Amino acid sequence: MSDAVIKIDNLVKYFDGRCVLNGINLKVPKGCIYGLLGRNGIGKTTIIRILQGLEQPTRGDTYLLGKRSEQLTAKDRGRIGYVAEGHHLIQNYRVARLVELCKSLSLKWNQDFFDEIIQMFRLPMHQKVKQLSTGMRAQLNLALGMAIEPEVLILDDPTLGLDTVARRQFLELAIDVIQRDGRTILFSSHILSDVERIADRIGILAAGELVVDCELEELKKRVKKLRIIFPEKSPEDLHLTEIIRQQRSQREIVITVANFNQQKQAVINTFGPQSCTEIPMSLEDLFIECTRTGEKNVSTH
Amino acid sequence: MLALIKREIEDNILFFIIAAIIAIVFTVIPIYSVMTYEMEKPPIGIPMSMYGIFWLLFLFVPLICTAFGATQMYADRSKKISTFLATMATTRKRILTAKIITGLLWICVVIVPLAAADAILLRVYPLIVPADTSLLVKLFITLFLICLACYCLGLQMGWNTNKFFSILGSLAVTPILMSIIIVKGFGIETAAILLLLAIASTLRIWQKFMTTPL
Repeated sequence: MSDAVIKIDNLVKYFDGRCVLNGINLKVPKGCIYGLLGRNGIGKTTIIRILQGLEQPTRGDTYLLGKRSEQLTAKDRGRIGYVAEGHHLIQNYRVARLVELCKSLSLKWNQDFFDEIIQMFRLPMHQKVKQLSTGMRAQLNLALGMAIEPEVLILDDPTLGLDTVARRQFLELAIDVIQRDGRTILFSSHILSDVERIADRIGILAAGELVVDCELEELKKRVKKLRIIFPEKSPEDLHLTEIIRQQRSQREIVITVANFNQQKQAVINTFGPQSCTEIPMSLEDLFIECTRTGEKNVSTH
Repeated sequence: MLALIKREIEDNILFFIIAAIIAIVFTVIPIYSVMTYEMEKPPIGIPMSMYGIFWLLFLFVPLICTAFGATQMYADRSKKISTFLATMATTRKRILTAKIITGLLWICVVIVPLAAADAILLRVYPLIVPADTSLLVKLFITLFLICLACYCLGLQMGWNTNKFFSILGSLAVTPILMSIIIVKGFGIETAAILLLLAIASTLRIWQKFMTTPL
C-alpha cells in the first residue's frame, strides 16, 4: 500500500435501498489535514463509521493505517483518535471514571497533556458526562481523543451544536494540538469556516459522490464563476465541459466551471462576448455551487 | 480485557450484590437446617428445607440470569456504550467476550459457594444428606447450564431496543426452560439440550454483535 494513511476504494453504501455513497474514492496521505465537507445527512458520518469499522459497506473497501477497517486490531485502534459527532461518550459515567476507563483501554496516555486541557477548560471531573454542556463534552471528547497521542485523528463534525465561543475555543485547541505533531487528520464538518482554518486539502460530498478532492488553494484556482455578457441574445449552448452551474438571462450567462483553463476561455471567446468577468468566490460560494441539489455535479479532482 | 471486565462488573454491580446475597442466603440456609436437624432428630434423610432451596434456586436464579443478560445488552445498545468502546484500543470480539465472562462470573458467584457448601455437607453429614455425589454434580451442572442458556438468551433479548419486548421475553424464557427440567429431570439429556441452547444463543449473539452496525 502507498503512504496513504486513510484510503477509500470505490465505497458504496445503501440504506434501505437508498444510495447514500456512490463509489467514493479517497486517499489521505500522512501528515495531511483533510476536511470532508458536505451538507447534513449527505454521508460524511457514514464514511467515518465505515472507516472505523462501526458500519459495513455495501461495496468497496476502506483502509486505515494500511489495514482494512474490518480487520483493525486493538493495537491499530490504539493509534487512532476519534471525536464523534454529538460527543455521546458514556453519559451515565462520571468524568473521572470515563477518563480512567479510556486510560486503561489505551496503548499510550499523555497525562500531562490531558491535565493541561482539563485545567484549561476547567472540566469538572466529579460530574456525570450527561451533566456537562455540549461544549464541555466536545472538549472532553477531544482531550480523550488526543491524550492517546494518535497517529490518525478523526473528527466527525466536532463543533456541531456548539455556540460561537465554544466552537472558537474548540478550534483553537484543535489547531494547537494539530500543530504540535505532524499527524494525519480527517475532519468532517458542514461549517466551512472551520474547515478553511484547519484543512490543507478538502473533499466535498454531494449526492453520494465526492465531487471535489483537492487542495484548498487549488480548488479556488480551479473553479471559476464567470459573468459573460453578449451583445445580443446569449447562445443556447456554450459547448463547455465540466459546467457546475449555469444561469441564463436574455444577454447574460453566469456560469460556474470546474478545471477552468485557457482552452475553455478560448471556447467562450468564439461566441464573441461583449464582456467576460470573473466573480470572486469564497469557500462558502464554492461549496454552495458544488452541493446544490437537483443539479448535476462535476468532479474537481 | 481486564479493564472491560472490570467495567462490566462495575456497571452491573447491583446484579453482583444480588448474586452475593443469593449465594449467602442459599448457602447459610442448608448449613443451618442440616445442623439443627442433627441436633433435634435422629439422622433419617434430607431436611425438607433443602428441597425447597433447590426449587427456589431453579426458579429464581435463571430468571435473574435472563434479566442480567438483557439489562447488560439493553443498556449497552441504548447508551451506545459499545459504539464508544469500539473506537478505543479494543475490538468487538473483546467487548463481547468481556460481557460473556462477566455473565459466567455472575453464575459462578451464585453457584460455587452453594456447590462447595453442599459438597462439604455431603461429606460431613452423609446420613442426613444421603444424596450421592453424582446427583449433586448433575444438579449443579444443570443449574449452571440453565443459567448460562438464560443469560445468553437474555443477551439476545437485550439486543432488541424495545424495552417492553426485552422484559416480556425475559419472563417467558425461564418457564420454558424450566419445563425441560420438569419433563426430563437432571440428566445427560437435559444437560445436552441446555448446552446446545446456550451454544446456539451465544453463536447468534456473537454473529449479531460482530456484524451489526454499532
